[in-house]
Amino acid sequence: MVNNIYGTFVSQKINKIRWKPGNTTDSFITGSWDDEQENKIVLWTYLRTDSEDALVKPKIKCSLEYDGDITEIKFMNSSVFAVSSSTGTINLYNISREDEKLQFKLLNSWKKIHTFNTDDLCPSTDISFFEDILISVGEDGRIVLISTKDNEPYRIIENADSCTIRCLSINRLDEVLTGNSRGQMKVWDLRSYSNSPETSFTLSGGQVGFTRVTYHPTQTHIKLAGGEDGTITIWDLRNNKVAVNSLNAHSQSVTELMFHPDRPEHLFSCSANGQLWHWDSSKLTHPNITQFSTSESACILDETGCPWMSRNVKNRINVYSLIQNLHLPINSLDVQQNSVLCGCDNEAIYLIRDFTIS
Amino acid sequence: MVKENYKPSVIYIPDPASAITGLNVVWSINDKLTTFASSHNLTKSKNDAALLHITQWIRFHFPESERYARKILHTIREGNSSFELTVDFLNEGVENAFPEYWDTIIGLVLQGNLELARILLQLHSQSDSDAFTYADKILRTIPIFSVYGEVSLPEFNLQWKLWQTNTAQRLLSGIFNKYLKLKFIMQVLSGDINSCMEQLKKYCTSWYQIMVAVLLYTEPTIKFYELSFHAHRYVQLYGGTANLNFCDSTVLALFELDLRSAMKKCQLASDGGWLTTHLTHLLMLCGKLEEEEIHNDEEQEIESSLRLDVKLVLEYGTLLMSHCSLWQVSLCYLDQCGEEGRARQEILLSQIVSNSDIKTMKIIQAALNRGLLDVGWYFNFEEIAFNNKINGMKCLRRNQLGKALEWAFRSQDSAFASHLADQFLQHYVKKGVFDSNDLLDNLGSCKYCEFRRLYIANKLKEAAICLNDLITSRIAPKYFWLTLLNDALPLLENDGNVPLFDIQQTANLSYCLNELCSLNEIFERKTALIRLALCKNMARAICAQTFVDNSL
Repeated sequence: MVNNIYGTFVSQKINKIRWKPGNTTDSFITGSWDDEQENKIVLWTYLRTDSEDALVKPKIKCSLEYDGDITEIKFMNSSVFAVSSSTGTINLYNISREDEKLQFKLLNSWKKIHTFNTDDLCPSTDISFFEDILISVGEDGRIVLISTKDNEPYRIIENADSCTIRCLSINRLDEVLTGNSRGQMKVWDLRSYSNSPETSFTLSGGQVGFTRVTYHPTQTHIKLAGGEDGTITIWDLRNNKVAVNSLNAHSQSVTELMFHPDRPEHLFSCSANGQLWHWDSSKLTHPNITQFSTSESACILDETGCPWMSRNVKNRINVYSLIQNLHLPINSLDVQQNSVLCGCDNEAIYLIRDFTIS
Repeated sequence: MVKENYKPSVIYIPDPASAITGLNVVWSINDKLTTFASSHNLTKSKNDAALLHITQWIRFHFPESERYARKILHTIREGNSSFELTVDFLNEGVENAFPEYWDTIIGLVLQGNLELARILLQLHSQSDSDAFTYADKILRTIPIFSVYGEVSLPEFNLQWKLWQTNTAQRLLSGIFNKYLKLKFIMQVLSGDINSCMEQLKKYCTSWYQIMVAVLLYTEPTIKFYELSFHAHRYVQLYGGTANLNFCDSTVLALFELDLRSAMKKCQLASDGGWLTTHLTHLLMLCGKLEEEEIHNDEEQEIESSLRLDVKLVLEYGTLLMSHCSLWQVSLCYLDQCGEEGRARQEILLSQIVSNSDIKTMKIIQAALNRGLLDVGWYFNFEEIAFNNKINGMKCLRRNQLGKALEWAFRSQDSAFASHLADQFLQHYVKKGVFDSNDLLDNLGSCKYCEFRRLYIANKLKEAAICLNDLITSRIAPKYFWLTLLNDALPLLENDGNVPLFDIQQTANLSYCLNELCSLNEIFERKTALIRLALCKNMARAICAQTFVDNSL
């Protein structure tokens, strides 16, 4: 757990933090929340100079005032990214260079695609790209499909859910997962014209809402969801009646759940009580099958060799705490190569460089 | 973590940046002084080293000379590539290439940084001359008192006198007269301050800077408690107490060890109380501010039993709440304030405006963490429950029944939940479809859902029993009965061998139907079909029953 942790005070509560995709870990974007009219998206860069300090102290390259809380930032490619906000508006930006200065160039904007039938603003809660299709979900229970080239959404599924859709995960267009705040998961086939989900199921049993959902990068039928109570639930989409594993992970709401983009053996999670965990299954990826119970289901699941699906998952995965517990929520994390970034409600961002990834 | 410069409200000092510097100065001198003050009764030795610590403090806050000296050295060592002048330093002399050369050296000497000063002097073009050689020797041989050294205090005093007399003699000999600046430095070193006071003032921007400079060369072993006497002398030099700005006068109060007046002065800083709060708290923690001392303050009646520091933290915490994004930090401050803080948390927390689910969840979580709510969403304090209900009502207005119900569940508000369920059923009666199947799935245990499920699964007999239970138990509201009876229709009409409803069950249904019709005549028309089906079913049920009886 000895890591190189570098904190930077940014004087705004950070709700989302994302590495700019690329071969190097030198630029990232942060989005703040809860600062009324003064929320910002900021592009930070670690300068490449001789001094060690520059590698760990980011400099602001450009920033932009933003209306409403930033709820999600997703990159489409290495320079184009979309930002969703609590006003229900989604903007698409390009990081471009003009007169030697970097700036955010607005490519497209979809205003108030999430609305209530009152005047209140409706937050968009999660967005995700599938090629050049952008899908957004919101507190109004809508799913909005946008083609990034058009000015209007091409399809809106009204009443996709009776309550807030919290999280979204797209594997393929016919396998889109949404999780709501009452703990239900729905699987959508967005190629079909049907306005109802393919299936809908409850995993946790109670009324515990989901906050994040993701899938295993190589075995995409394996899904992981983080709950409001800090549990991480794992199930096989081919058999979604029961959860394979439900881990009592964090003690409060899971705020982000993310596999390492290049190394699927590593998972990262952070929580509302200020924990940042690294789940490392690399050392134990190839299990000795006999060590597991011989019950039928266990054998079937173990064929995949995926440690997340095994019965004694806790013995198969090493969990490391990457940072000393912060007292306020860590809202977001991102990982690229061997650098993890996290943004916290204590108005600071943390960079963890060169932690051990075998 | 804390925005200390956030919107300065009282502009006591015109420029917020200088206010911050000021705060910094005050904070760190306090750091030095109080650590001493707390230990000065204990060890004599630390007391003797008072000047050493204060010199460090001065160097830390006025680093310009040192910075410039390093720049000169750097430029020379790296060659002049980055330097625009094409001067050959060795021939022309560093003093010509760098206009600030002498000021830098004097600055260094006044801060007691003689090593660096010597290095710079050696770069002078005339460094081989007698004047510079002697100056170097004087600087090199200055006795340095070390608390832990082998030299005793009287012994040191003797050495010091000798050295200073020596310096004075050199000065008298006129060897330095050729170099005015060097002469000035020697004057300072010889302790002959009075003759060069005016010149000295030029190099010092504040009274404490000059005080340290003078003390360094007149009373190097000054005791800690003697500082306040000297402090007043130098304040007079800078126009008396009336002319001091906030920062300077606070430093003075600290030198006098008058913590209470220092605190009062700090309160005038335009930082919203940040400095006072934190300083008081820190002092209290290290035991410097005695409790009685504060409580006996005759000027203000202590109404509550709160300690001053707690009170300040409480106020500061409450102040933070006024900024929309600092509520979490504010809660952390209030955590330190016992019952009083808790009471404020309860009030303030319920007043935070939330425009998104995520923020609401965070507020609730914060309340839960502090035990302001019991776990399991049982809200034992009205405000939050109320808040949740507001959320629910908001959803209702937006026609989001599902979400409203979610909030009702969270707040365990059964009355509100049943109101919502009511709305939900009304909607179904009107439209004949549920908008939100997910909600029904979610409720799971509801009887009607069970019926629907059984019916769809074609388990007709069980469905019939279920429906009968539902009607006879009278859980369902009256407006829903018609829907239930309509649902019974296909079951009644079922042409299996054995009717799905037996005599008793059919009678129950008829009874309900009659009750319903007696309420409203409009039903009469609508129910004709149901009545017919009931009659048919009754007939079949009787036949079946008779058949069973007979076969027995």
